[in-house]
Amino acid sequence: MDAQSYTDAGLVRRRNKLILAGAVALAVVGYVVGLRAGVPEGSPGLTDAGRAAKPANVPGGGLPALTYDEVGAGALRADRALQTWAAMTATMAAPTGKPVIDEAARGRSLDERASRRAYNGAPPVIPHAAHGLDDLSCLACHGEALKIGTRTAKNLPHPYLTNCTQCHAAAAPAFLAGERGGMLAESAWKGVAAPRSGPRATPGAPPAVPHTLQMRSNCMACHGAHGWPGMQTSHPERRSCLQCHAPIQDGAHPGRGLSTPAFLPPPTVGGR
Amino acid sequence: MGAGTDRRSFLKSAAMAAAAAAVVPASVALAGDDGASVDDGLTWDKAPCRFCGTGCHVQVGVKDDRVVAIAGDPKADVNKGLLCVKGYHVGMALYGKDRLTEPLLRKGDGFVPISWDEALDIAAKRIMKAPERFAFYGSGQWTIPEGYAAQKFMKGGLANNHIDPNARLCMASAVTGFIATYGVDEPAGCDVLITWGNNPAEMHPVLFSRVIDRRSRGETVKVIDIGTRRTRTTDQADEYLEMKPHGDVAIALGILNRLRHHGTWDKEFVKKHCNFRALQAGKPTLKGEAIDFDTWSEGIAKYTPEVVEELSGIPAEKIEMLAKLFGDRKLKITSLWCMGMNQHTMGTAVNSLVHGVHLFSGHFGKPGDAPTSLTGQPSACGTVREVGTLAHALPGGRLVAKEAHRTQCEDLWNLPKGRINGKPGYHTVKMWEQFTSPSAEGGDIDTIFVQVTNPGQTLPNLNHLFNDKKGLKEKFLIVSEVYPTATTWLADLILPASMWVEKNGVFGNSERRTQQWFKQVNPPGDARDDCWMTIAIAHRLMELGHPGMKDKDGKFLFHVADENGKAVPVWKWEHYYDMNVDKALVEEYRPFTRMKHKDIAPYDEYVKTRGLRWPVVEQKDGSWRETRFRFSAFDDPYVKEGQDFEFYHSTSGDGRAQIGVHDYKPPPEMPDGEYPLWLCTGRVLEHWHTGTMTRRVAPLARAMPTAYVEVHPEDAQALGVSDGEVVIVESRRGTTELPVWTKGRGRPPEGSIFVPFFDETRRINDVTLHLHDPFSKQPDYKKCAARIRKKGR
Repeated sequence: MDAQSYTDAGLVRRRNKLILAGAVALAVVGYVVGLRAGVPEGSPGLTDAGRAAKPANVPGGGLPALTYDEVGAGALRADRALQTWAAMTATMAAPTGKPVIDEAARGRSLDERASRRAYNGAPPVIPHAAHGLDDLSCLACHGEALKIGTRTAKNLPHPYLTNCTQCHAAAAPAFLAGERGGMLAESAWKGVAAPRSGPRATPGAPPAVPHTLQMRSNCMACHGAHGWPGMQTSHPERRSCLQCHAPIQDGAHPGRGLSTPAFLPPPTVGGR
Repeated sequence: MGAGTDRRSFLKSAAMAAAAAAVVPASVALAGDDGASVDDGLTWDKAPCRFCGTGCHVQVGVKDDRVVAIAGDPKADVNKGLLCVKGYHVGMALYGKDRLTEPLLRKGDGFVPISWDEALDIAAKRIMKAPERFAFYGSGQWTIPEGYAAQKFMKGGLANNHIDPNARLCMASAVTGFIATYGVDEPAGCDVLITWGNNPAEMHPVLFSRVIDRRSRGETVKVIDIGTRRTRTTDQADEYLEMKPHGDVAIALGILNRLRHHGTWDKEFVKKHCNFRALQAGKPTLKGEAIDFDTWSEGIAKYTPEVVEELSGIPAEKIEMLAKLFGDRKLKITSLWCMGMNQHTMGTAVNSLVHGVHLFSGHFGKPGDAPTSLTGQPSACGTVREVGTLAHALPGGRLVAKEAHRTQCEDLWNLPKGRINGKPGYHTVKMWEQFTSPSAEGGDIDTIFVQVTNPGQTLPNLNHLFNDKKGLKEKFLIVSEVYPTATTWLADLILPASMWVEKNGVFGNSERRTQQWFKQVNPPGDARDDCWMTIAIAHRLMELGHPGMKDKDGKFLFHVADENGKAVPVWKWEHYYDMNVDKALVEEYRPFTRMKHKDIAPYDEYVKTRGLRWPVVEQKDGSWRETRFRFSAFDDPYVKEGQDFEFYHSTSGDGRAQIGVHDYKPPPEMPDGEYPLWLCTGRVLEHWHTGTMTRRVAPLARAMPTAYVEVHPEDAQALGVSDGEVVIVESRRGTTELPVWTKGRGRPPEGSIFVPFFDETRRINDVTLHLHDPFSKQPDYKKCAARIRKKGR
């Protein structure tokens, strides 16, 4: 239902095209994964060999992965993933109308989102069965926000890293889930909840970004045409999101946690 | 004083009514989340944004005498309804809880509140005692009427040329570069955008996103970022060319060299419209001397791609790539620059060279195909460049050193001949040097009046130019301000000021656009307008018997009459808004603007519009038409008939622009064994200049709470410092403490660090260098040698 809020003909065409492209990509990935099955891989990205093995043309139009070296060099903050979006929107007709922002849909999205995270800020678990957990098979759908049936595989909000399951826990294989599902340890854990929306300072002011920017350099992953229903931007043609939407707190800023900015002491006024 | 709200409201509505017929009813539908309009019960009116030089228009929503909402103005050509995060929150800048609301006089380490009457008396007597030892330090945030009043008061009244603005620190090189060559604007339609040491994604975000948003429509815009560190602009760039600091001079020379070598320069354009020029040997002047094409060619011959690679760090093949782009006449190329090229010890030279690249290749004066110099302040062009509030200038492009020019001004001001002093006054750095040097040691400026700026944080090398004032009993600092700042910290007299829509105003933005707004709310407490302060002090001086405060006929310098010709006592605050003083001053100023065909329209024309770009020329039907493309025959009415292009008022007097040659000279201070790092300073998206306004706006302060030092991860590791650790950043001149950020907003290369200057508690200008360009006198804030020290070592 995500894309139903857009009725724009260009988007529908685009969606159909994506489904077709996705089917082809899946076939290719399936073939490759099949060939590789059972062959142990090194740790791509951790070594020079891993860097050399970086796929040049990732199926589905995705991006070559970053190595850990590149991440260390600050590449995480470069909007490389955004360029995927650039490629997408370049062929997309300019939106003619505003998407219908549906508060109820937003509420459902927030609930669904929360159901996948132990606390706000935790990497979401993989909400679907996944047999091939090779990184390329993740990218087949998540590299370009692929819509499959009623579900949309969200684009990556962060640049492509090679080892998806390092952070994103996969659902247990079905044969295990059925058998041992009841054996989870009980816990009193209560994680911090995600904010419901970003605050506006005045009427008409753009809402602040209610979350940190860490691991979130591609705003369009969640807020673009294929993002969460009810959280999509009304102006996807604008490309410089942070120009208007300031983060409430940039988790990476060295001054984070300060409640107020520091000023010089005020003038001492006496003699009244 | 009894300036009651009722009277003000009445006066305000009277002022508005005067132009009521013209005012476009300013109502905007506020888009809520659901896209529906909100019936908000607010009064909406237009105003240009208070911050940078882009000149966006906002709609200001007012309720119960308070600004409560802001919206982008869809009718504005500049921003088409868009804003940046600062603009959307500009109204909140009025409501910091520590607004200054009463005049304060220093008493020991503290202050005592005094009346305005006493304050004016103290200021006037201080000036009267030694008018020639008084200086006025102003701003590119001065409105045009404020700057014009200060200019007339100083040069026409006190016969004193010690008036200079903070814009000396931010755009003087663009002005001197501009005198040497010319500029035309409109980057939104370019094929190639080259940013020269410039980060418009953060500093001029509305302009930048207007360019890159075109990619969403499937258009191709190639962005080439030439810089000394990676920024948010780099994130959007197709090519990032990382240069050594100061490498821009060599790059421009290299492009000229290749265009000449390959013969891909625009021979027809150059033949028809350009001259060649070089600096004289020995004692060069800004104008330089005419040279022929062969001599000029010899001058650039040595800047081969290999030599340029050595000087700039940009690979030779990238210089060829740039030259190939410029050699392609079909492309539309826009160069953008701001402080990277202006705050530069070769600022005038590099401005002139980049103009030269565009002239030599014919990428000039067409939509999207021109060099574009950006300014950092909302009225740097309008108030500083055009009103000429600089130590050497007079309004309308006149110069104090030229007798004929002085006479023109004396005539327009109805002053006795010889009133204006022919010797240029002190430029900013000199002015503050003289103020912070003891009188006994030749420091011959005793009193400075500062309006609308914060030199205690923005002057370079503060320990040399500002902090030394402390303890000098004979010096007296008068500061008009809206909040306590690093400048009021050392002030002797603090005057509380109105700001932005608490007063009438007129700005002139980066692209020659003159913009007007009305007072929309009352200032807090006893805060008053800067323009009124100048007029009131002038009147007090007249009462004290200063002869300069009267014109030839014995009338007050700021004589304002009502429609019956009766003088209105605008120097009394309770009568200031009886008349629209802004309108009176703009109309008085208009004849000056025609001297160099930079004509501004009657004040009432600006009331109707979201600004007009000069020259604004009256049409046969009585309407007024702005000029989008200056010097281009298709648009500029002052280009001679039969010409496609004419650089009228060029320095060579023949309607031609100058292509110069300037040899690369290394920066005056470079990293060495003792201070091994390049230090660059600048701004961030959320904060405007010294942050006195934006740091009091919660959404902005929250996103960017403190200054920091950007360090390359390798350097951080070598120094043994980690993210968030507070370190000492120091140079030969001073020191400040900052937390380290290795993967921060910007990403400098190894050997370079970057610090934003917005934080008054972490003043990086205690560390920077005050050496400046020889022509523009603008200091280089972008490079000096520094080091990082771990605390406690």
